[in-house]
Amino acid sequence: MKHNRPILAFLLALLIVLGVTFSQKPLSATAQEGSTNQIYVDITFDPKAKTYSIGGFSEAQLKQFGAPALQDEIWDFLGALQGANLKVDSAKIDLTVDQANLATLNWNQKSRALIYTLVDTYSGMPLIDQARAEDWLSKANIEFALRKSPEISKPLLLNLATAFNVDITKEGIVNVEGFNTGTSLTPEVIRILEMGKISNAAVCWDKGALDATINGAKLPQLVIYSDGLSVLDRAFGLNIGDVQQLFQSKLGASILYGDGDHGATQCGQ
Amino acid sequence: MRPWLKIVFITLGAMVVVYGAYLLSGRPAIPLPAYHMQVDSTNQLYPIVKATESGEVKLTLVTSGRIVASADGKELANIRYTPTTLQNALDVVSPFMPPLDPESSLGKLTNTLPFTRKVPMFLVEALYHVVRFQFSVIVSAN
Repeated sequence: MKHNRPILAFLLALLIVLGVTFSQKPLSATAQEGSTNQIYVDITFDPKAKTYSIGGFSEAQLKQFGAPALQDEIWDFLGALQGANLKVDSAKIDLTVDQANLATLNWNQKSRALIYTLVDTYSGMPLIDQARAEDWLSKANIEFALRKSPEISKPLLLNLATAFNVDITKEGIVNVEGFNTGTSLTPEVIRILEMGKISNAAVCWDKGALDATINGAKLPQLVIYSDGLSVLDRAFGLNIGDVQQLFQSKLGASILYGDGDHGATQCGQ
Repeated sequence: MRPWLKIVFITLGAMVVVYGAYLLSGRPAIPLPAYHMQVDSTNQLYPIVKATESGEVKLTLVTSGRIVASADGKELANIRYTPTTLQNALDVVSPFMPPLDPESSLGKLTNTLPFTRKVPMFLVEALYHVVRFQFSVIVSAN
């Protein structure tokens, strides 16, 4: 017995270590955020100075993106207005003008189906994918706020549980939710997709964290902080301006190259 | 019992106890000495390092699955990986990598002993699951 003491001590230590190893519970998944498509767009206008601001961007910044200057007729109309508010959710559309409720439209999946049919019949646009429209509208929490104020509008808020479906044809034509964007991939990008045998991808941006999946395989997560983006901005003179909105937003895209199905990409999961 | 066998068991027992204590304390990353690197204007990192207030960027690899870039005491960006996601990333970029020269010493080694191709990922797995280290490179501009 005395001779076996080292063996017994070794076995005991091994037992303790194995016990600790197998008693360690895996980390539980983090609580999921509410599954809504939240969009908040604040628009301010100043009829005296004839300036406007949308989603935290000044008129000068918006003009850099090609936003037009408003005509005098529009400024005359806006001059008579104090403000308006449009709210859209899965149950109703609410329009308020100058604090007075102007119109409310109650709707549900069934009544929306009728609207899709009417739009398909009379609009001349491509047919609406009703299942996709419901993916967006059944979780909708959208608000447009129009205010008479000289101040810069509040930052745009995007918190989207539904990912955009982006389809890229073999010729490189880019469609988003079935609508042709009028943009195409360059032959170099198409060559990279072909070389890498990339047929589908999912990208999710969640307040600084970028998750990507290519051909169903999850890639390492990249987390970018606003300080990091500021350093890159200074280093390469990108002039990206105020990026706080980016770090408050959540959105994603399911990208399909060629034929196939999008599946159900949900960001934040 | 033979003395050498006794020594083997005592050593193994001590190793198991030390590793047990390491496991109980949550497998913290063991910090290794930082490596200092100076870059000049021809280096791609130079403008990034110069754009920081301190003129210094710290890149830290923690083998528990994090690569962190920080400067001025703040995190700039980080990459979080698992051996699986790292392998997936390598699979995505591999078609774009030039093929290994079969005449090079590494090419000869992998052709003679094909299992050596799996050594890097085996190391990543071991450093991720078994013993974790923290290695930093401090980059400063000339």
